[in-house]
Amino acid sequence: MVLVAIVCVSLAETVMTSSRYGGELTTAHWVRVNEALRADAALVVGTSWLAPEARMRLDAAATPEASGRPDLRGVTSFDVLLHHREGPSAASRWRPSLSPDSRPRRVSLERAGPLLVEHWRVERPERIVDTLVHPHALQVKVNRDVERSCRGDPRSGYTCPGLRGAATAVKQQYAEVDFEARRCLSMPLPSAASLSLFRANFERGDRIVGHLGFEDFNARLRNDGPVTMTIQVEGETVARSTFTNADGWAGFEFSTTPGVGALSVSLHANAPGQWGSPPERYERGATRRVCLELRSMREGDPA
Amino acid sequence: MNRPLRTLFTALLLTALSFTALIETEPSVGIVRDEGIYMAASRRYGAWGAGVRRGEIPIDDRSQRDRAFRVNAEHPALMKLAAGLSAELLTPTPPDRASPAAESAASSSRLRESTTYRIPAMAVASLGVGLLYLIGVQLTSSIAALLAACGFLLLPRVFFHAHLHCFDVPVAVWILGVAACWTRAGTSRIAGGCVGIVLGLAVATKHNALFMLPLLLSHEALTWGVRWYNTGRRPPWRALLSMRVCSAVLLTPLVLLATWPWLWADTSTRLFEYLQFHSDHAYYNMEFLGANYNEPPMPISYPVVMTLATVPWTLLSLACAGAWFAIRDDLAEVGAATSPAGPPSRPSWEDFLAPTKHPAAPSCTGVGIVALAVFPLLLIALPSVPIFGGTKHWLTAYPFLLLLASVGFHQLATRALGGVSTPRRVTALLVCVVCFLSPGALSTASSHPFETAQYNGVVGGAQGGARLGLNRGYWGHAIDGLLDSGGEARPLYLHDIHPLAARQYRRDGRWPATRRSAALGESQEALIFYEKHMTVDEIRIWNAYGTTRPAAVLTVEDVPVTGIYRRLPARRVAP
Repeated sequence: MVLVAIVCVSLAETVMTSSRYGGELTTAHWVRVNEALRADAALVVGTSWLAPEARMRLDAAATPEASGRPDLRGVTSFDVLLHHREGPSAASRWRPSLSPDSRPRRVSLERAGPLLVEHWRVERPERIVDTLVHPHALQVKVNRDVERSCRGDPRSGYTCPGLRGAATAVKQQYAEVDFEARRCLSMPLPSAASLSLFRANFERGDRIVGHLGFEDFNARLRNDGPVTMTIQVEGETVARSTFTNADGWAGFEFSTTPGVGALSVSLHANAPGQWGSPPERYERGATRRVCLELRSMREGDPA
Repeated sequence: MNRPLRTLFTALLLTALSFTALIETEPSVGIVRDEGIYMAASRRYGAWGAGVRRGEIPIDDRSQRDRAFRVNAEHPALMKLAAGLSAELLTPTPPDRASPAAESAASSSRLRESTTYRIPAMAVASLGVGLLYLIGVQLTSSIAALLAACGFLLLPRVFFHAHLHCFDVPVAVWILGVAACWTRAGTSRIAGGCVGIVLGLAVATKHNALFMLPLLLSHEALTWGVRWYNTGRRPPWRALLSMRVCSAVLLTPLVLLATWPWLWADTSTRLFEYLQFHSDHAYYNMEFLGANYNEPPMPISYPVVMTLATVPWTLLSLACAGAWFAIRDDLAEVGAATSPAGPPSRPSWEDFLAPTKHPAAPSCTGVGIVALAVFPLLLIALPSVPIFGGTKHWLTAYPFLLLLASVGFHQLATRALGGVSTPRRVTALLVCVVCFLSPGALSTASSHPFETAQYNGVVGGAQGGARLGLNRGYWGHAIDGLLDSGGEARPLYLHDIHPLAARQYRRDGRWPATRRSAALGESQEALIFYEKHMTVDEIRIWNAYGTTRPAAVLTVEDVPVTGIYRRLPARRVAP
């Protein structure tokens, strides 16, 4: 009996192994996926190991938005690409990426061989009113005893006095936070220094949401000192939070009154240096790099 | 042909077939990080060996010897020396193999230079297959032994590592050889003498083998302990010093010294440095169930889960059954001896030469095999053990796992097919062997040459491994088909390819000599090996190249293992 049972196990294993033999995906499957994607919907690759090939095959997966999306807030509809062995996704998977008031609802599902394309609609979606990163209007200042302005723009990067080298640029780019790609304003934060980001005419909705994370897995290995973020609206402090490298892609949100006015975000490295492993390996002058994205949002009334 | 001769012939045939299979499938196996270093070291060692043979280098010239063997002195020299001599023999190049002139000669020879470095390791792996068959026949039957022999080589991870000029499969084979000699030495004085020689070869291959000595001594103590229990007479302590123990203790260091010229000077200092290097080993990154680990402790379940996820469950089930039968048979020997003759107050020559020949002495072979199948996993599971890497570090367990599988198969088949006529029984057994080997063979065929990304059918293959967050690769070798296509050789960002491995690709002629490696900022093409902790490197490529779209992706069962990016023209850089 035992031998028969083990023969059955081997047959089952053989069937399971041969069902995946050499892979199943073909170019035709990707063409069908491309056809199934909606032009006005955001694309989320739900099966993470599919992402590199999806970026290679699908225009929609290679966009900056799809490659480094902070969350799904502000999205009215989205498509999810999955491998069929992961099965259809549940709404609970997408709810944390949306506002508490928004509800994701799957509209339909299309199959392209072993790939699934799910079409989702967001009920009670939010609308993005403005973003911190603006090609011309964002001012950056560095404060090391004396406050000085940085020159440049988010695309090519700001160069700050006292911070030299390409690695010290403040720039909108992709950053690795918690082993995920995020598109954000990436900036160095030297020990005992502050960086201030300023928008004179920032349009507010009824809330401001954003994320902050420490970049680079290697830097996190060394355990950077925490960073305090202070946000001022029209000169008044409305939020202050301290983030550590253990927080990952840490979200924040606070209410605002709609309008247009000054917005300032300042980041300050509280403790100088980095602690290595073992902890006695301390590097006093080390610079950590943080990744920040911030948007003002308004509930409902999609554009 | 009588039975022993037939068995030997079959073992040789299996060895030859294994070597042919390995050499035929070798060209697609990329050069792993460590190989780059080992091949560079082998070049030095081989040049020294050839110089000594030609009489150009005096063997006692310390400075020349040290210059050659200083390279990669953190590992013993046996396999590297063998690889160097293999290359010297098979790819004739100018006398100084390390010279630039030799590079073009190496790339133009019929056999790739890297293949000649790999040949000794592939030969040892093939010998392991034959040896498994011989041991399997001793323990079970010729058909069950086939399961052990073929099952070992067809394990995806073993098949991959068996190609490499590395030490993991060779040391597993030498340890199997030590176990075979040790067991045989219970009744044979010649085998007793060989224990130390084979253990020496194992230690001269990789440090894993150092743990064999305490295990062997424990086994000797166990056999004497059971003999004491069976006869009621306590043996004297010096009875433990049997010939096989003396051989292991005395000959092992001599073989290590003889095969590692680096130790011929400053022996104790260099030996201490070697041991210290491995006890303070750097930690590697390893993804396990979605989390990245870079400092010990790894979860203690790591080697067990990885074994469950990479070895076919068919073989694991049979091994469990085999372990049960093996231990049961050993327990049956306890208290079963009726001979009144206990251990003498002074051990006799017979006890020294063949300690388990005595009727009251058990062999404890089953316990020994189970211990050797389990010990490597337990060792890696210890919280204080550095994170060395993946399954390759407990490959030494797999020959014994396969032997247990053949024992389980043999015992179960004997019970199930006892009353069946011989031709039908043989047919049924062969069908069973084919069934049991199929999952491993299919997994290997489906994933070669990227077996480090492969997982068994129960887990869901490579896709299941990726879904569970298990590591896909760790050696920067998976490039077959990505760069060999010729065309314009642009400056290449190597990512996890070791610079010495890149140099070997060029020496082999696998890369055009014009393909130079470059820092990311100066490169036009960039490789990325998909591992969790490498995400940061892929994102650096996105930022540097202005695109998130890879030009090509290598996959195993649709799961990406390596990607290549091409820099976009400056005017098209995305905002």
